[in-house]
Amino acid sequence: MTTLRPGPDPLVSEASLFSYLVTRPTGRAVRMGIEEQVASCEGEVLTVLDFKDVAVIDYSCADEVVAELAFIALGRPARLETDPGGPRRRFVLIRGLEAHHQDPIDSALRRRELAVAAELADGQSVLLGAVDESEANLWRLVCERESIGPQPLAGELGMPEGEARVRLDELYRRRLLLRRAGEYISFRRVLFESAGRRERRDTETGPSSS
Amino acid sequence: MSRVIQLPDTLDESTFEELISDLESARQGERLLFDARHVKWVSPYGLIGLLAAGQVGSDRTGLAPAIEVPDSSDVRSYLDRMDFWQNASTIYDLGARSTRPHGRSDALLEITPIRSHHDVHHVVERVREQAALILESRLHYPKPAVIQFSVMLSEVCQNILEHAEAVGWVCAQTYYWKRRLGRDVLVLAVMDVGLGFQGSLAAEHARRYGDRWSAATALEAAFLNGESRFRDPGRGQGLQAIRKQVTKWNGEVRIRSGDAMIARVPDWDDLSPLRADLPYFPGAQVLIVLPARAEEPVGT
Repeated sequence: MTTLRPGPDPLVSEASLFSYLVTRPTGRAVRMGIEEQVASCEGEVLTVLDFKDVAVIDYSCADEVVAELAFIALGRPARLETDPGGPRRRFVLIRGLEAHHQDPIDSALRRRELAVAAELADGQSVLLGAVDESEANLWRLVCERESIGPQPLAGELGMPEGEARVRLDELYRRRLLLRRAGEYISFRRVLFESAGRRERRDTETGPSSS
Repeated sequence: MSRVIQLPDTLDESTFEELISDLESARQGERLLFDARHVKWVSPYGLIGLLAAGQVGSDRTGLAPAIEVPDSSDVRSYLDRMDFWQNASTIYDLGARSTRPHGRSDALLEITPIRSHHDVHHVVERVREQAALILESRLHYPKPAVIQFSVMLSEVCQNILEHAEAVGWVCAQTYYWKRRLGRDVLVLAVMDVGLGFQGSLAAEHARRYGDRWSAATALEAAFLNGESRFRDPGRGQGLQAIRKQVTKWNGEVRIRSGDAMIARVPDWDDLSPLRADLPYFPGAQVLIVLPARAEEPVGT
């Protein structure tokens, strides 16, 4: 089941995945459902894959769902930065991840040299897939701060601002962070903001069903 | 003209080669009779091996083979419980023999045909509860092992769908291996008589190997290097994952295809890790043996 939380910056698409994620055709069907949901969305979309109810995921399904979505997210934006609607960019976050989900997903991502951000069931943020230690450390720091620009990061880590910008840009290029007005933002922050927007909207108009 | 294929008294992975070498000379128009009267013991590998051998016999002769039922009432009862006759009915000429499914037995998994990914789902969901019980209470594996076993089962069954382009079967049972190991084991057998690894991987890999391309090199490419028939880098993980998991549990996995066999050999067996001198048999035949965890020595 997928639901779309209202944007505008970015849209959050939530997909609750189900019990037995096994076989490629199953994975393909799940992925296509998720892709369809956001196919016509303008601008940036953060797709949240909720693994809370996933009892088993095998390597084939991990490849079809997570690695394929991560691969698609890395693709060139469908529109240019200068277009009025902004570029169409996709980001992926896994939530509710248990230890037994990790190996198939991590392995599928590594084979394609991809990475995905995830939140463990206990709330801890981790990166899965092909990431080196320095990338992971930097990403964790941004997650702790929720958002940060190159200048304060450079001050904090004692490096030139240009280098801080390059390293943050690399995480953005790999779709592991969002970028807004010169700041690099963690997905968790985006979810807080999205939840806040929804709450405000519900208060103003009364709860609506989607 | 008919020919009798005498089945060994023990029908398992060790006697499978005997069974299929008798099949090599089967000719078109020859009626085969599989004589199982003296069979005293059958493993899951032997059970589905008999289906696979019957299918190959039927393909080679163009006639459905006949089968003489075992004299042993224990073996007959086991074949009934494992739904052998129901699955054999599409391969063998069984005459008036009843082929009704038996229903649940005490086996982890009765013979189950794999024709589509729906069958894989069915198998994985069906065994979960009993697999949890067996892995935890008989093999003394930690709780998450049932999930890893489900993943392994799913991948090994999907291997049939991905590579065989033919129907396959899966079957699993637990035993006490008194002589070989002195411990309980879970035995999982999966077979098909389709393309086999050499045929499946040929289009993508044969040219690179040149004259060295064979069933053995195809098995090495898939089992050791994670290569697949597809160019997609996401493919080929399944067998690698199985090998890794079986190694963690100090188990054995062997894959026979064509005239070769490759294996991950644990310290409790002396199987050759690679053989390329076997009688030709189509498709792929997989055996996975998971032993109970050895008890820790007292005081460690």
